[in-house]
Amino acid sequence: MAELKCEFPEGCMLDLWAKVIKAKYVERQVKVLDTMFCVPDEQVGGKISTVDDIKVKVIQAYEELGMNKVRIFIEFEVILLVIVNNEYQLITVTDKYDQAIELDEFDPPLTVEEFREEIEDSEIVLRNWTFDFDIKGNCEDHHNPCHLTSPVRGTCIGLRVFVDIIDKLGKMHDVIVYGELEPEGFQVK
Amino acid sequence: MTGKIRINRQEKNTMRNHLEEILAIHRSLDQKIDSYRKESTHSEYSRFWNELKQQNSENIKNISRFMVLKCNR
Repeated sequence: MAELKCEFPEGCMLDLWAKVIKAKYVERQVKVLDTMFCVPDEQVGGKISTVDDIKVKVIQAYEELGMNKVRIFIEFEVILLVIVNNEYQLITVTDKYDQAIELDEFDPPLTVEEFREEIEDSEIVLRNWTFDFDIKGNCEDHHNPCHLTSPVRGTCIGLRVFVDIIDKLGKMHDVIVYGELEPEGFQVK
Repeated sequence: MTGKIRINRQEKNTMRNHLEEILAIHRSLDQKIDSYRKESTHSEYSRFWNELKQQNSENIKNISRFMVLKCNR
């Protein structure tokens, strides 16, 4: 066997300044929007017959670290690609979602002391956006599907938006990794 | 290479105007085809007008979809 250039633990010290994740909150398919709205005919040129596609644009996602909880805020736009009289139109719905996460909801659960001592910053990851919608009828219908107080001619749409929320709490640390150099000839090219 | 290149606002507006113009022509064409289709009595002719109307309808969809997605205001 070839002789190692560097043997554990002397030398070969990798000295890193890295963010170490102390606790994580993972919640799948959180309902961040559940709404019903009327799209006036005059806005899109008629009645909506189909919702062809839905996209989401995150305007900003941030959080506030409180004394004993974390509050997350997600500002987003939902963009609906709809068909009106055989033509495509865009509708944008803007909303803000906020949620308080208790310390015992993190994995591992944190005590107030650990939270104060060990956590410096946090990061929100949002992924796997999914949508559920339905066209409830005409806003002006006698059963008033959108529960409008003043009558408007339009299409009533129900929209629900879900997303996986991952919140990572961490702190910058010195991380020292000891290793050995691979002998020549064994290195991955 | 097919990397995403950001299109500037001026070009988007120009493209939007052009597409709106083309869309208007297709809309008026749709009405024209429809009126001729209603006038025709022979089934073979009616069938052809129907085909034309369907193709034009697809064009309208295609143009308006591209327009709202790629040339947004």
